[in-house]
Amino acid sequence: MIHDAHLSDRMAAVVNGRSSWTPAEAMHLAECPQCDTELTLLHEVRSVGDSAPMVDAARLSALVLPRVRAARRADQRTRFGAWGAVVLAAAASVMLVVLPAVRRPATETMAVVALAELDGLDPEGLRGVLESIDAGLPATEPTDEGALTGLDATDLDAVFDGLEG
Amino acid sequence: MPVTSAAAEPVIDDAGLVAAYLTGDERAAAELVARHAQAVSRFLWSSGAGQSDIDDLVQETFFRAFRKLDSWRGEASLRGWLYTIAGNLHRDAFRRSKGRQMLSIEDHDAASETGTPEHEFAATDAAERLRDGLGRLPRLQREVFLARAEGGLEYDAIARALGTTPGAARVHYHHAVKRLKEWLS
Repeated sequence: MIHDAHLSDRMAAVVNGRSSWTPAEAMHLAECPQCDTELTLLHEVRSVGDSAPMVDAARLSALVLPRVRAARRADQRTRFGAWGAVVLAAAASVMLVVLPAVRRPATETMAVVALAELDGLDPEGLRGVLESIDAGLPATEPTDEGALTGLDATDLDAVFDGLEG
Repeated sequence: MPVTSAAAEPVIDDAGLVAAYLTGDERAAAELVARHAQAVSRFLWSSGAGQSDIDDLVQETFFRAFRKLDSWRGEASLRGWLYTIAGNLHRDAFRRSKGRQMLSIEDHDAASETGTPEHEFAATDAAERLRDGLGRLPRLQREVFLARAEGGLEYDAIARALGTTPGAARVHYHHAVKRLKEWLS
């Protein structure tokens, strides 16, 4: 027995010429007003499509394909420009890191050397360094900001020499 | 790859033509246009697009399709995919025009060479009424219905093209049939 749903599913293929009704389907169609109405509707819609403007396919290709080529070339230029910007940004970042390292002041190197020398001292030696630092400083509170202001250049040199050991 | 006859050149399916175009063969693209352009025009016309807009819409459909052809999944119907692109363009064009549509009256005024003028007018009027009904359908119902009626696509192919399920596509189709029957009765 043919059901309406089965016939409905087959209608698109038949209306588009890809299939044809079996005898059983044709008999159902002849006796089913609902299926007949649906089939008529599909034929009428195809008639509407028959009045659609005709397309000149060759002309259409001649218009579309150059546009596609031009759009792809524009895409490639955009991609190149974007990658160029990334490379420049990366180079700038590298320069920001490398240049300051190259220009690092000598005192940092000296500080590393000084610390290494301190590492080699025994407790007695360290105590001596600390005492020399204390001796080089004026007898004022560390937070006394005016402690160094009264010293002349010779006194300041003595203080710094004491600090450096 | 289907072969029409021993003497004829083998017919390359859509997937084969797409693959050829993606490697640079523009003749394959021209063949795709020849194969599907009229179907796209029919689809747009039945959806209610104006005569003066069809040419531009068809051209833009193929332009967009060729630009993103590498995203077309070979298992989906290419024609269904083109219908989806055309439907989107038609919707966007409709929104830009805010629903204004110029109707040509020349066809009604022209003398008929076959049948009576009244008969010609009635037939044209019926077709316009059907076009009007199609245009009033919700978009998904219209596209599913036209993909079946115009494209002859099966529900699984329609579902893949429109990003839905075969069951949902079937429901949309039957809703469309019901609405059109009511509109025309």
